[in-house]
This record gives sequence, structure tokens and C-alpha cells, in this order.
Amino acid sequence: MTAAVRAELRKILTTRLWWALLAAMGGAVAFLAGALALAIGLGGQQPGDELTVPPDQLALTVYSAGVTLGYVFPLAFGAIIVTQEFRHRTFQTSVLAEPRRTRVAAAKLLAALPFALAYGLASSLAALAAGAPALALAGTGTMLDDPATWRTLALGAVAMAAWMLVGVGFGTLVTNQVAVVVGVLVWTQIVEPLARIGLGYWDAAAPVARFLPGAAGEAIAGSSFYSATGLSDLLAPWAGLLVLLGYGLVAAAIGWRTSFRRDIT
Amino acid sequence: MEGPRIAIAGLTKRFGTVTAVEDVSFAAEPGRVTGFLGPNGAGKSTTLRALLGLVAPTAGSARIGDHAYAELERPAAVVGALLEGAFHPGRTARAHLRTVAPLVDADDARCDDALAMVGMSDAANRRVGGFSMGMRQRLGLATALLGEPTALVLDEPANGLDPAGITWMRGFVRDFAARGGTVLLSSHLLGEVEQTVDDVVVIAQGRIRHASSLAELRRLAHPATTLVSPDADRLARLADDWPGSRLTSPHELVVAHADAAEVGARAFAAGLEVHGLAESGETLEQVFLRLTEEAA
Ligand SMILES: Nc1ncnc2c1ncn2[C@@H]1O[C@H](COP(=O)(O)OP(=O)(O)O)[C@@H](O)[C@H]1O
Ligand SMILES: [Mg+2]
Repeated sequence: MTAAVRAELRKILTTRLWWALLAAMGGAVAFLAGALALAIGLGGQQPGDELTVPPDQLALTVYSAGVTLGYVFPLAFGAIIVTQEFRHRTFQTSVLAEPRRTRVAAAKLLAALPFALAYGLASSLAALAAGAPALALAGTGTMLDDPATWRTLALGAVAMAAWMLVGVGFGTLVTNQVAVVVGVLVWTQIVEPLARIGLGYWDAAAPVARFLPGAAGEAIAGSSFYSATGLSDLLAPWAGLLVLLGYGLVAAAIGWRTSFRRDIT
Repeated sequence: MEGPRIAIAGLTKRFGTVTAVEDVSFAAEPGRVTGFLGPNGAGKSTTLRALLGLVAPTAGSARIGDHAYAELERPAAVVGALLEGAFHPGRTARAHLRTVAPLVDADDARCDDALAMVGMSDAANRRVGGFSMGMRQRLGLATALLGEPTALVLDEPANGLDPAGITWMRGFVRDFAARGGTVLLSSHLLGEVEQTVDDVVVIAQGRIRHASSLAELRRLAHPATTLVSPDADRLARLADDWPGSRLTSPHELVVAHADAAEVGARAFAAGLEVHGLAESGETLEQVFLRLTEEAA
């Protein structure tokens, strides 16, 4: 099993994907955190605005920018490390060397763990590095002496790591790379945001919205733009983590029973 | 080196309604090169993939020595497999081998050795995306050799190789078998592997048509006579009237089971101008074609 994990780690480290997406995520999260701090801090919220962030929530919203808006990067990374094996047929080489395909699947998940942590840490660091100066610039408190800030940053990293494992699960289920990447983008950028805003205006449906994957991810960090503006409530952090990992595990289990068993022709 | 015997018994594989192979049985012996020959779509790749545990058979089994491939402790260290290229274009040749190495207990030095064995040392640090088909075949062979196997299963190894590459591959495979290894290789062209193989297994439309040594296959060649004439029209008419004859070009007719006297007499009777008449016998390639075209 350690040999299989080492092989999977080498597969990840020998292509440019891991650092290209890591760098893109760092840039995107830093930009979003900075822009959010300046826009809300300087933009001067009018009392009549429909979406307002309470001052004590502003800093946490900024520090959780990764979980709210940047999770597409670890999600896509997790999916692609599986789908590229099918796209370039290297899955065949893996199975020739390790015919016990369940081990190949498990080794992939284990090999993704260190990268999940690295993406999580990098995301929180980027939100902190860009968010804190921007909050200071906007004249809003940086809240760096508040334990809640550090809690949000730490749990935000955990949430990003969980997103990567969800990606591995969905990559295992939908092994077509184009389908997965398009699906991830459409879901995270369009479907879920619209669904949450829509459900947020309809009281009866609000509890459902909490169980959507994006909302579950934000629940882990305990803060988000959506919840701060009152658009939707969140689950408790531990429940969010369970729900999010649940999505990944269910997808991985179905994929392990279907795509990983198929004939390789 | 003592290679394992590879034996396939009663193998059937259906993909939905398509029967790719049906009741296929044959063996490849250690110390010999076995050619698995058949036209495109005959079922060669499906058979080899079933042998390697990539495809689940509908019926039947395949064994490497006493075990199914997937039951071997370190299968890739027993059987080296070369299948249609499977590389990530962004990896270098060396990086590709290093992704397989842990699973066959090979260190970095062994990766470099394998590249040297296939003459790819100079390309070790180049990305596979820029490789020619021939270079990919060589890298695929290096991958197969990484675990120091005693058997090789090669699917169309000559594909994409230039003549020098084919000569090189032939020498490599012959040497591997001479040292006691088992080699099973497929091809859709007999001519390509005629000088490489000891034994031949012919498959067409998913069924085995023939299995023997190459020498025995040669003995299956029918006597035949080749007639050359500039008169394409009359030659075509003669071909139509004569079962067992076959136009190999508009000006050349090959008649199976006939000697020069008989063919000459028919040509004369047909008023055909004759420029050549020779007792040729079927070539090996013609025997192979006949075996694949005959009804099962
Ligand atoms: N995954 C598949 N699904 C459906 N049909 C397949 C599949 N793989 C192979 N076949 C069919 O099985 C037959 C044998 O194919 P193959 O083994 O690739 O032949 P060969 O390697 O001799 O050219 C062909 O008719 C091919 O179309
Ligand atoms: Mg084939």
C-alpha cells in the first residue's frame, strides 16, 4: 500500500497541475479577500441596503473568502488528479502494476491528503495576507487579536482540505475530465449561488439550503458572505464537515463500484 | 531467466452485443516468441487485455504460469506489458517511469537503465507530449522492462516504428526469448513479424483460425502459379471463370493448386498474350490472408 501511495504522490508531483492551481488559488483568494474588505469597508453601507454585513462580521467574512469563493480550486484539483488518469489512460499503467483497483483508489485518496492540507493552509494565508492590510486600509478593525479570527482561518483551511477530498470523490464518479471540470464550474459558480440566494428568500426552504455543499463548506469555517448578509444560515462547523465529506464519500463509493471496475480497453 | 508459460483457455468476451473474442485458447511457451496475428478488429487487444486483468472475461481464463495475472504478487515484475500508449503528455520520460517504479520495486537507477535499454537516455528529461510514435513505443517498452519481467506481452509493438526501429525491436525480442523469456506479441501484418516469431496464432473475427510453429505454417502454402499478361480485360475474364484464381494486380493472376502447364493451356485457350508464367507457391502472407478470410 505504501508503494501505491508513493506512486500516486509521484504522479501528482511530476505534472504542473498542483502548483499551477495552488498559485491560481492563492492569487484569487488574496484578490477576493482584499476586494471584499475594501468594497464593504469603504463602500459605506447605507442603512437602506438590502445586503449589509454587520461590522463584527466583516473581518470574518473577509478571512473566510477562500471557503466562500475559492473552494473551486481544491475541488477541481481533487477531481483532475483522478480524471487525468482516465483521460491519458495512465489508469491502465496503474492497474497493470496494482491489479487490486480498490488499493489504487485508496492510494489516490491518501496521496491527496498532504495536498489538501497545503491548499487549505495556502488559502487561509492568502486571505490573511491580503485581507488584514485591506481591512486596516479601509479603517475597519482587522480583528487580529480576536480568537474568532484565528478560529475562522484554521477551520477555513480544514474546509478547503475537505473540498479537495470531495473533488477526488467526484473525479472517481465522473471520470470524464471535461464533464467534471465543466460540472464543477457550473455548480460552484452558477447553480449553488443562485440556489442559495433563491432559497434564502423563501423561509420554508432555508433549512434545505444549509445542506448544499457550498453552505456546508462555509459552515466549517463558521462564517461566510452569505450568512453574514443574512442570506442563509449555516450548520454547526462539525455538521458542515460531516455533510461535505459525506458528499465526497458517497460520490467516491459509487465511483469505486462503477467507473473503477470497468473494463479498460 | 526462466519465463512462465502463458495459457489462455476458452476465453470469451462480449461488450454488450458485440462478441469481441469467442472461445479463444492457445499458449505461449518460455524461450519462444509467439506471434498473435489477425486483421484489425480480430480481437487481439481484447485477448491480451483479458490476459493482463484489464478486461473481465465473459467466460474462460488466462494464466501466467499457475496464476491469473491479478493473483501475482508483483505482476508487473513478472510480465512486462506494452499496450497502446498511455502517457501523461506533461511528464518527462524519466518522470513517467518514476510514477510506476514504486510499484515494481525499481529505484531511480533502474529507471535510467530501462531508458538506456531502449535507447532513450538522451530523451530522459523531455516531455512525452513532444515524442514521436516510435519514441512512445520505446518508452512503453522501457515501462514494461522496469520490473525486470521474465515475460513480455506486446500489443502491436511495431506500430509507429521506422524500419531501423523494427529491426531493433526484432533483435531485442529475439534476445529476450533466447535468454529464456516468454514473449507474446501481436501484429496485423505477418510480414512485420515473420523474422521475429517462432510460433504463430492466427485470429480472425474473434476466433482462433490456426496455431502452430512458423515452420508448419509455411508448409500450409498451396502450390500456385503466377500468370502475367498486358491484356487486363481478358485476364479479368479468366479470373472470373476460374475459381481458386485471384488477381493480385490488373496484370497479374495467381492461381492456387495449379501448375504452369495447366495455367499456360488455359491462357492459350483464352487467347491471352502471356508475358510471364511461374510456379510460385503461396507466400506466407498469402497463407495468412487465406486463413483469416476463410469462413470459421
Ligand atoms: N470497449 C469496447 N466496447 C465495445 N466493443 C469493443 C470494445 N473494445 C473492443 N471492441 C470490439 O471488439 C472487437 C475486437 O477488438 P480488438 O480486440 O481491439 O481487436 P484488434 O486488437 O485485433 O484490432 C472489435 O469489433 C471492437 O470493435
Ligand atoms: Mg488492437
